[in-house]
Amino acid sequence: MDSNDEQYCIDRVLRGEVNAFAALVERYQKPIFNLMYRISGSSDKAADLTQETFIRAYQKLERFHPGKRFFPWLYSIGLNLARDVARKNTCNPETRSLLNPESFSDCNCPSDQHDRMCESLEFLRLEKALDELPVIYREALILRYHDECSMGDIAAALNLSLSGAKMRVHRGLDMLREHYKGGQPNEPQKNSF
Amino acid sequence: MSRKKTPSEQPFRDSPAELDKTAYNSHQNQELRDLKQLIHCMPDREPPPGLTESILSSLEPKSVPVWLRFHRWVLKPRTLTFQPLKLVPTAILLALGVAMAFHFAPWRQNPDYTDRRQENLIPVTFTLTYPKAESVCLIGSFNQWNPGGHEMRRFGKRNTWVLELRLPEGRHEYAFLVDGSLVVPDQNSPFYQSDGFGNRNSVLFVSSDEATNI
Repeated sequence: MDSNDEQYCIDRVLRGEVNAFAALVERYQKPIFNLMYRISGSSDKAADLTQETFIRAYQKLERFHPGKRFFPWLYSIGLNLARDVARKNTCNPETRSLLNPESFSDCNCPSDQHDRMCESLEFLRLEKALDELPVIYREALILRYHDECSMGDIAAALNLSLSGAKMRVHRGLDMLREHYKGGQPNEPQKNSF
Repeated sequence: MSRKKTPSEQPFRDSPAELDKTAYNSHQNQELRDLKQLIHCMPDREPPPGLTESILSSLEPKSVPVWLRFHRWVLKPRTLTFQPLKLVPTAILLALGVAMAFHFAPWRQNPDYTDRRQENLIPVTFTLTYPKAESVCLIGSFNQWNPGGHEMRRFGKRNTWVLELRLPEGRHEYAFLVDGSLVVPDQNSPFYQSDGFGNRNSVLFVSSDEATNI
């Protein structure tokens, strides 16, 4: 789905066709759900927050600027919602793991069982290292290298300037490397915004 | 005479410390590349089934005001595509339109506009008494010494030739062209200027202080 298709869906929604919103939900529910899961640590909470994100986006859809990319705008709504929830809920997120056989369905890595075990351990280490980064650095890295967003989209999603987004990605990668190696990072702030 | 050394002949300049630093940087870069690849392959969790239906069931159809729809329509970027070959007739039509618009422009038809342009011009009356003349034209620096359009009118029975012009302020040289061949300077002019060919031109200084009659 490119920007024109998104714009077509949005125009239809604004003409009163609710079902046209389904295409946008289908397209972007996975990255938003995973964002919420990283924030909340719970599938149920992540589903609720994902639903709330899309409802907020629907309510604000008139304010979406035509010609802009929809995903960064949606992501910024999700991130703001997560920020609100994190302020209200100060308890630590639940223990979670991505080490779930079902969760590897999209990975194009080798299917050999031993290799998969090694990869799983690598992903666990990565998940732990990412979890120790401030949220804005973590999300900048995931948007850049996992969701393959442009720097402009990252800046829009995180409400940063372009240079600010580049700095977050660059610095986040350095911090992640330190955490991943098990060293002492400069800014160890778990789940902080 | 020196010869440029090939890379294999150049002395190895990197010190052991610099070599260590290079190796360290290379190692760091490899680590970063591995991390980027690992993030890229990081598995996603699948959202629970039925999430889309759950979201859609809680939405009400929107009713957007017309003005807001118009506002969005105006803001929406559009892409124009064209073929250069098809653009040629359009360009010709456009050029014709511009030319016609210029030709029939109001300022070319409206005398008020001409008057406004002539507001800064000073009225000057040229007179010459030359009894035997059949025709007299006024030539000067203000008409590039071209007699066309500046024929003087015979006035009364005293063979006085008259022409009224509006000239800009400043210094002008002029003379009278009698019967199309004889150049006659203005005898009443207080100033003269040689034309470099043995003739004299009269010199006129036009000022906005008052109308000048020669």
